[in-house]
Amino acid sequence: MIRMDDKKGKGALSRRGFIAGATAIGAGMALAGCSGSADAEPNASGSDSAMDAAAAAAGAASCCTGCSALCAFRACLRTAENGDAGIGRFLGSAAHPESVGSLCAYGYASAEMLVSEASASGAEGEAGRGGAPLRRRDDGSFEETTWDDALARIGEALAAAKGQGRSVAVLVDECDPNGRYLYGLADALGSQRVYSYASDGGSDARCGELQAIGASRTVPDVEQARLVVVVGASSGRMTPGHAARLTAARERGAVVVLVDAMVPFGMPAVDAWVPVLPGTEAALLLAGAAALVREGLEAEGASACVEGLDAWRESLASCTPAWAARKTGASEADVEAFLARLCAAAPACAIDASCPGSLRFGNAAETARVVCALNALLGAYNVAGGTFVVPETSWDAAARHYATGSAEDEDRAADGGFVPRADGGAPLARVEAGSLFDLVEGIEAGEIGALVTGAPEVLAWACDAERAQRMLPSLDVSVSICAGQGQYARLCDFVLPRCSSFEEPGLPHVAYAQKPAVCRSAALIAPADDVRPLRDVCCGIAEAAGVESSFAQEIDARAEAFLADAGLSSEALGDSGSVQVASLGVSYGDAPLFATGSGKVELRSAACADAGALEVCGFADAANAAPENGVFRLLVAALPVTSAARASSKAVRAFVGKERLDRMLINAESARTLGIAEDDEVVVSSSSGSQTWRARLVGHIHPGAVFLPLAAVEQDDGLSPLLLVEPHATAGFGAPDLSQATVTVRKVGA
Amino acid sequence: MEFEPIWGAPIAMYLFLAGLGAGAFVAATAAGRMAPQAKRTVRAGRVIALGAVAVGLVLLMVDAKGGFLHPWRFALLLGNVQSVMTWGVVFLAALVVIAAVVVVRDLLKKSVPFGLEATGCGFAIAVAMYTGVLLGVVKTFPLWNSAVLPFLFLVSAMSTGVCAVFLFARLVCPNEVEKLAFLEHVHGWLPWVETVLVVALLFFVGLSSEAGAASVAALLTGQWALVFWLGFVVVGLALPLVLHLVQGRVGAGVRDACGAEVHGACPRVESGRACGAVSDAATIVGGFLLRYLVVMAALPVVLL
Amino acid sequence: MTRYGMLIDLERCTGCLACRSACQRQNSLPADMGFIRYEHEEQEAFPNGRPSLVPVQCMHCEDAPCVSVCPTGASYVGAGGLVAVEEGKCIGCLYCVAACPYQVRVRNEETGAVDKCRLCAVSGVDGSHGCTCVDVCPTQARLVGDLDDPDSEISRTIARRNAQPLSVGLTKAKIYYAR
Ligand SMILES: Nc1nc2c(c(=O)[nH]1)N[C@H]1C(S)=C(S)[C@@H](COP(=O)(O)OP(=O)(O)OC[C@H]3O[C@@H](n4cnc5c(=O)[nH]c(N)nc54)[C@H](O)[C@@H]3O)O[C@H]1N2
Ligand SMILES: Nc1nc2c(c(=O)[nH]1)N[C@H]1C(S)=C(S)[C@@H](COP(=O)(O)OP(=O)(O)OC[C@H]3O[C@@H](n4cnc5c(=O)[nH]c(N)nc54)[C@H](O)[C@@H]3O)O[C@H]1N2
Ligand code: SF4
Ligand code: SF4
Ligand code: SF4
Ligand code: SF4
Ligand code: SF4
Ligand SMILES: [Mo]
Repeated sequence: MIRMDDKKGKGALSRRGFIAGATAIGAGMALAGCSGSADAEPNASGSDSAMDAAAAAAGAASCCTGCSALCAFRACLRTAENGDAGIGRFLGSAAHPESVGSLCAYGYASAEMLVSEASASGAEGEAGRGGAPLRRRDDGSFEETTWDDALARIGEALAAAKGQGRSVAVLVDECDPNGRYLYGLADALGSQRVYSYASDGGSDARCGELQAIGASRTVPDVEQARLVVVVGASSGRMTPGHAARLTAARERGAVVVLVDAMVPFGMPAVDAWVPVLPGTEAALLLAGAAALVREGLEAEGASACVEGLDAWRESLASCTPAWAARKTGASEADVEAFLARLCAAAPACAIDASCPGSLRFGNAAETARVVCALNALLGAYNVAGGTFVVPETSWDAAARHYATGSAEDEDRAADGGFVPRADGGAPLARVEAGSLFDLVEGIEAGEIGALVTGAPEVLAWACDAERAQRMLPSLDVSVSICAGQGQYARLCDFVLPRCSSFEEPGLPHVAYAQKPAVCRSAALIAPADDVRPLRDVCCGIAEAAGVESSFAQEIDARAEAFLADAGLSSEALGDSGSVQVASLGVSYGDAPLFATGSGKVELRSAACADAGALEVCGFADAANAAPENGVFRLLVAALPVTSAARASSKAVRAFVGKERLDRMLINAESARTLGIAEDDEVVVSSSSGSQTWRARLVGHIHPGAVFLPLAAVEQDDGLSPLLLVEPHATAGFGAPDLSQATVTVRKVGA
Repeated sequence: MEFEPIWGAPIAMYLFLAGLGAGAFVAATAAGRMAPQAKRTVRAGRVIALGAVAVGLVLLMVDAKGGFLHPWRFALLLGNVQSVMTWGVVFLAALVVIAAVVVVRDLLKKSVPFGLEATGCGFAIAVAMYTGVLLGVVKTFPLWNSAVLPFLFLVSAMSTGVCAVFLFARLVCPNEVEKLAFLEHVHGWLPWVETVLVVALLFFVGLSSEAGAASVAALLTGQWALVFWLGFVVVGLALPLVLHLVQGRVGAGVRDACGAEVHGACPRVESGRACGAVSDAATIVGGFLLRYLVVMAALPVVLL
Repeated sequence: MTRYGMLIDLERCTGCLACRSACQRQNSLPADMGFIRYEHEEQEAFPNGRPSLVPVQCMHCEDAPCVSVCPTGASYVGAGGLVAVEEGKCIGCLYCVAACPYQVRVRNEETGAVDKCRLCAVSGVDGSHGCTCVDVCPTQARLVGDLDDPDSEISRTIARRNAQPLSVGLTKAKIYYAR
C-alpha cells in the first residue's frame, strides 16, 4: 500500500503546490503525482491563443463530481506572476457530450466548494475537512485518531462481522469515478451487498430500461430530430450539453415539447409544454403509441424487433386522448396537439428522458419501459432523429458485475451481455444499483454487520435521520469515507478523510453519446494533511481485515486495458482529459443491440411480474390523489445552483434568496382561489410535517402541483422540503420515490 | 431580484447631521447678530454646528469601507469635479474649517468677523442643499430624483438646526430663550413649509413612475408606514406644530400673569419650557426619520 | 475607435445561472459576491408561463452615471469604452452603487472597494485571464466584440436581430439584448 508520507502543509494553494500536467494514467501511477508538485508556468498573455496555450501548459484535466454527468474540464492554474496563485478558470471539455465546453451553475458552485476547501478557509458547513481520521465515542462525539489505529480497528470489526456470518455492505456514490475500489473491497470481503444508489438517481428507470432493452444506454438523437419530447426536465440536471442540444435543435427547426408538471428554471425554450401531473407521463406516451397505431405509422420492422408487440398493440386501443387527458390532468386539446406532432414527425422523434427528473419518481420504471416500447414502435432506434442504442462498454459492464466475480459471468460481460449483480426477485432495483430499502432492512434485520460507504448522505432517501440514528449503531462497524461530514457521516463509527476529486486522480469513465467520450481526471493539487485517496483507504481496510488487496491493481489493470483497447493514451486524452471514441458508439442504420434474453425489445417481463410490478409495460395508475382545492402534488428539486443533497453555502443561499428563487412556486390561479398573494407566507403540510414558505405565483406550474426548492434556505430549522416526503420505495422496483407526496397549502393565518 | 437598500442608517445619520450642523450654524449666526446678549446659546450653536458636521463626516468615512480600510484614499475625494459628492465634500470641509475657526475665536473671546460667518452661512446652506442634491441626481430612485428634495432637506436642516440650538437654550440657559423670539417665530413656521414640501414630494414622485409610486406606497401604506405616520408625521411634524401653537398661548399667558422677569418659579413658564423642549426634540427626531425614510424606502426604476 | 460591447440572446439564454457562478470562479470573487444578477420578466398565465431569468451585469454605459458621481475618480471610462474601477482609489462610498440604474455594482466586503463586471472577455485579449461568462454559456447566448466595427459578428448580429439595450434611451448601455 502506498502511503503519502510527504505531506504538504494544508492551507493556501500556493503552499500546497499544483500537480500540473500530472497525466499519468491509473491511480497507482498518478499517486506519484501527489508527492512531486510541479509549479505552474506563468500564464502568458498577448492573444487568446497564446493565453490558451500557456494555460494548457499550466492546467490539468479534472472532472466535476457534482452529478453523474461527470463533465470533464481543464482547470487552469494561476501563478503569482499572473495574479493570485490558485486554481483559475475552468474550461469545459468540448469533447465531452454533457459538458460541451462548459460546466453548469451547480458544477461551478460545487467546484468552488472544493477550491475553498482546498484553500485555508474550508467549506462552510463541512467540518474537519482534511483533518485526521475520526472515531466516534460512545457519547456521539468524535476523537481524532491515526490511520493505523482506525484501520486496525475497522479491520478487526469487519473480520468479526464476517465471522458471525453477517455481511459487509458497501454503499457507493455512482458519481464517484473511483467508486470501483469500493466494489473491489466488497468483492475481496466476499460481499454481494453492494449498493450504489446512484448519484444519477435514475436507478428505477434504469431498471425499467434493463427489463425492456437490456444493458444498453439510450441517447436521444436530438441533433437530427424533427420532434424532441423532453419527458421530465429538471433544473438540477440540465447539463450544459443537454441545454445546448435542445437549443440547437429548436433553432434548426425541430419542435421541442416538454412533458412535465412544471417548466423548471434553466430549461431551454420549448415550443409547447404539456403540463402533466407527476408520475402520469406514461399515460401520455401510451396515447402516443396508440395514435401511431391508429394512423398506420408503425415502423415496418417493429414486429421483428419487439417481443410481444401484437398483444401490446391491442391493449393500446383503450389509450385514447380522452383517457390520457384524464390520467395526466392535461387538457384534451393539449394531448391531441401532442399526438398530432408525434404523428407528423415520426420516426424522427427523439423521446428525451435523459434528465433524471423523469426517472426517479413514481412510475419512473414504467415510464422508461413505455419509452422503449414507443421508440420501437416508431422505429426510432438508430435512425436519424430517433434514439441511439449505445452498447455498454466492457469497462462499465465489468463494474456492474464485478461483485459476482464468476468466470462465466466475466465471459458474458466481455461479450456485452448483461450480468445481474444479484439474482432477480423483489426489489428489482437491486439488480441495477441496489435498493437502499433492502440495505436498511438488511441492517435492521441483523443480516448486515458492517457498512462501508463513500456516500453516507444517500441514506436519507431510505430512512430519516432518527431511524439512521437507531440503525447505524447496531452495526459492528460503520465507516464513512468522504471528503466532508454530513449528518449521516456523523452517525458512523469512523469518518475517514478522503481526498477530494481535485486531490486524487480518477479512474476512466465513459460519457455515453452517439460517439461516447472517455474521460479521466488527474490530481490537481497535492492532498491536504492526512487525507488519502479512496484507493489507499480501500486497500488499507482490506489488509487490516486480512483479505487480499490486489483488487486495486486488478482494477488499475482493467482501466489500462480498457484505455488501450479504445486506443487511448495520455496524450490522446489531452489536457481536458476527455476524448471522443467513435468506435465505442453507433452509426445510423446499425442494428440496435438489445442485450435482453431474446435480443429484442421485451414488453413482457417475468421478473417484473415476480417482483409485483406490471408484467406488460403500461401505465400503473399511481396513487395520484387527484388534486383538489388546497391539495397539491409536491414537486421537490434542486435549483440550477443548489445541491440536492447537501446544504448550500450561505453565499449560495443569499444569492438564491436575492433572486427570489427560495420560494414555493404555485400556479397563480390556484393561489388566487386560496386567497394567496405574491410573497404571502403559506403553510405547506403533508402527513410528515408542516413548513412555512413564501409563495411565488407563476404560470409555469400545473395547477395541481406546488414546487419547493432544495437547499435554498437554511435547512437546520427543519425547512428541507424533503422532510415532507416520507421515505418509501416504488412498487416492485424498490428504488426511492420522491414524488408520491401530497400536500395541503394554506395562507398563514387563513 | 429582491432589492436591498444601498445605504442604511449611518448614511441617513450623516445626511441628517450635516443638515443639522448647517442649520445650527445659520441659527447661531443669526442669533449672534440679532441677539448678541444670548452668548451661551450662540456659542453652543457654533459648537453644535461643528460637532454635528464633524461626526457626520466620520460616519460617512466609516461607512465608506474602502476608505476606512485605506484612509489615505480620502485624499482622492476631490478627484472628480463632476461629482456632487466632491462638491459636497468641498462644502462640508469649508463649513468645518469655518465653524472651527469661529468656535476657536469665540472660545478665545475674540470677535468673529461678519464676512467669515456670512461665508460660513453660504457654505452651510450649500451643505444643507447638497444633502438633497446628492440623492436628487440619482436617477435610479424616483423618490430621490426630484427637484423638491434639496429644498425639503434645506428646510428640514434649518428646522433641526434651529431646534438643536433652542433645545440647548431651553435646557441650559432658559433666560436667553426670550431674546431669541424672532428665531422662535421663524422656526415655528418651518414645519409648515416642510409639510407642504413633503406633500409635494410624495405627490410628484407618486405620479412619476411605477417605482416612484411603489416607494410612496411603501411609505404611506407599506413596510415603512408605521415609521412614517407615527414617527415622522405625528412626532416629527404634528407634535411640534401643535406644541408650538399651545406653547405660544402658554407663553403669552405667562407674560400676562407673571411679568417678563419671572423665570423658573412659575409653573406656566415651566410647562412652556417643557413644551418647547419636547417640540424641539420631536422636530430633531422627525428630521432624522425624514432622512432615514427617504434613504430606505426608495425603490429603483423597473427595467424590464 | 474600438467600442466593446456584449450581446445576450434571450431566445437562447435559459437562465441557468452558470455565467454568474463561472464569473465568480474565474475572478476569484468572495463567495457572497457576483457580477451578474438576474431580472425576472413578466410572467404569462398558465399554460404559457415560462420561468425567465434575464442576466444583467455592468452595461459599460457611454453615459455612465457611476462614473460621473464617483467623487474620487476611481470609476472611470477606460480603453475601448470599458467602464472600470480602480480599486486603489475607491473609498467604497457606494455612491456609484446607488447611481447605477442597473444595480450591478457590488462592494467587495474584503477590500471595501466596489466592483462590477469588467467585461473581461475583452480585457482577456489584452492579456488578463479571459472571460468565462461568454465561454461557459451552454447555449452560446453571449457574444462579445467591437460595436464600432460594422463587420464584427456582434455588430451584424445586433443589426440582424434588432437587439436593444435593456432600457432604450437610458445611459447608452453597451450590452444589447436580442429577444
Ligand atoms: N434530504 C435529501 N437527501 C438526499 C437527497 C435529497 O435530495 N435530499 N438526494 C439524494 C441523492 S439523489 C444523492 S445522490 C445523495 C447524495 O449524497 P452524497 O453523495 O453523500 O452527497 P454529497 O453530500 O453531495 O457528497 C458527499 C461528500 O462528498 C464530498 N465531495 C464533494 N466532492 C468530492 C470529490 O471530488 N471527491 C471526494 N472524495 N469527495 C467529494 C462532499 O464534501 C460531501 O461531503 O443524497 C441523497 N439524499
Ligand atoms: N444543481 C444541482 N444539480 C444536480 C444535483 C445537485 O445537487 N444540484 N445533484 C445531482 C444528482 S446527485 C441527482 S440524483 C440529480 C437529480 O436530478 P433530478 O432527478 O432531475 O432531480 P431534481 O433536480 O430533484 O428534479 C426533479 C424534477 O422532476 C420533476 N418531477 C417531480 N416528480 C415528477 C414525476 O413524477 N414525473 C416527472 N416527469 N417529473 C417529476 C420536478 O418537476 C423536477 O423538475 O441531479 C444532479 N444534478
Ligand atoms: S452537469 Fe453540472 S453538476 Fe453535472 S457533472 Fe456537469 S458540470 Fe457537474
Ligand atoms: S451599468 Fe451601471 S456600473 Fe455599469 S457603466 Fe452603467 S451605470 Fe456604471
Ligand atoms: S464606491 Fe468607489 S467607485 Fe463608487 S463612487 Fe465611491 S469611490 Fe467611486
Ligand atoms: S465579462 Fe467577465 S467580469 Fe463580466 S460577467 Fe463576464 S466573466 Fe464576469
Ligand atoms: S450561461 Fe448563458 S444561458 Fe446560462 S444564464 Fe448565462 S447567458 Fe443565460
Ligand atoms: Mo443523486
